[in-house]
Amino acid sequence: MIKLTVNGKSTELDVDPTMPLLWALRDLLGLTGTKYGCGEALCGACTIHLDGVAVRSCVTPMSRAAGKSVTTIEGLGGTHPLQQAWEELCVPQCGFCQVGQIMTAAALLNAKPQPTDDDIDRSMAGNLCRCGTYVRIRSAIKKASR
Amino acid sequence: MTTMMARREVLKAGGLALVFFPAAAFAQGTKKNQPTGAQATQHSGLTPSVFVHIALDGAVAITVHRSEMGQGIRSTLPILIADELGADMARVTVVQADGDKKYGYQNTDGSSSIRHVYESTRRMGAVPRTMLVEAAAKRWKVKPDTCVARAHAVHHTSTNRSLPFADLVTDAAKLKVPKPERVTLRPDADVARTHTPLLDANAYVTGTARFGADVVVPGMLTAVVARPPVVGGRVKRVDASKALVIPGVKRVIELPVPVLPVHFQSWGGVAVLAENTWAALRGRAALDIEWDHGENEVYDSDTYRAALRASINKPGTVWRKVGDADAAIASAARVIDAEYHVPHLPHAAMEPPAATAHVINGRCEVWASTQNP
Repeated sequence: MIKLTVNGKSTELDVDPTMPLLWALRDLLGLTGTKYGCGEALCGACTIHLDGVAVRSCVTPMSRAAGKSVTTIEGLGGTHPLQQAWEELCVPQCGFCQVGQIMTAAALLNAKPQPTDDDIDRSMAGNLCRCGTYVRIRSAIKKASR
Repeated sequence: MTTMMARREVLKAGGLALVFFPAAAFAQGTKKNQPTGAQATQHSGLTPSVFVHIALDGAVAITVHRSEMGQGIRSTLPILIADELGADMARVTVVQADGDKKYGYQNTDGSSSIRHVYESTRRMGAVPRTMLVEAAAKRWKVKPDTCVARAHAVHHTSTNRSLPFADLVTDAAKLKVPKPERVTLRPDADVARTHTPLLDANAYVTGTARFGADVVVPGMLTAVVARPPVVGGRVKRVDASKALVIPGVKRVIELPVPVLPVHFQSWGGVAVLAENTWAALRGRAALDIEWDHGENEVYDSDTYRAALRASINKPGTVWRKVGDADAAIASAARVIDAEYHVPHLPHAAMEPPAATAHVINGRCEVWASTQNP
């Protein structure tokens, strides 16, 4: 039995400790907002927060999440400044990577509320967008940080 | 250890993950995924076509019959209809069409949706607008062409009267539906389109947009497929014993082998069905497969390139001819000579295509990430 907190709710899962957090969230808890892109921490689509830090849930085994606090897009609130900025600037195209982008950006703003362009580029470098929405992503982060 | 699947159980989406669920989940599954709005049978309100339904309270449901892939078609088509109708976007909901002949051609391919359906889509909005205007004109005993529809109401400006759509739906529904080709479109200048919102933006940023793999039905099984390493290859021998002992793994199934050329067929391979994705992935990793690579085993990139190059000088089909290229090049002051070669490329979309299928009583219901339902 693995205990963890998911979006503020304490949760117990009887689960293979090697199961990546991504599949526990999606398949066992029904939190399908977090996406599976590559399964190898290469694309960032599965990004969530583990104790406030952005991690790739596809390569984070449940054993590592034990006792920790997980925040997914479903726990971000829906009206987070980043979500509002993303909507206002029509950032998404196909939308598949955007949840991961927002979770990475949210961790950045938690750590540094007024990031520079360099901070943004460095933090967001691991989140791929096949549609190429990078310019709007950066604008939305700057808008949300104001 | 392997079982051949019945043809009808095979999903054409052919992506990384196939998801199956057993009969027990059906009731809940269909309830959750029940079609709504214009797709459901409408007993009340105004339904002049399969694309638009206006409920008695004025709420407009617009059905999009094309697939969203980031091009924004789920915003563009509803906006075209809403603009023609004179609807308030805040009162419009978008319904994704099932794959159904009644919607016409649904293949979302070749960047051609707008080129093909721009005008016909506008007419789908102009038809109910014409009916609502006619209903209002009758009520006021004025000529329809003295009325305008905008902001979810019909207005008679000269007498400063307005009727919201909700008050006109019942009367409009009694009128004969005009032929789409007979209704008058608004002048382009009359239609805003200065700011076109992304209607799905909120769903994308809150994680509620539902992609192929996000269809959840209680009790469903998840399958992942070990694909042949060479397209057109087949399984020579598979030992699934190590996969089947992994907790959660239910079944291992060998998929039908495609006939070359593959085109849009599934690539075949070996599917591992399990209670969750992780068990299925572990099961797939535990498969011991020996492949017969088939006739593409001798495929050689250099040979293919040489064949392409040789074909350049053969006569081809002329699709479009503008001017005289040969003469222009012959008389040009400067000629740039370059050769370009593009290898085989995957689309590499970030969303791994996935489908959910339910087979019961000879029927198969499928939810899929597909361009062509």
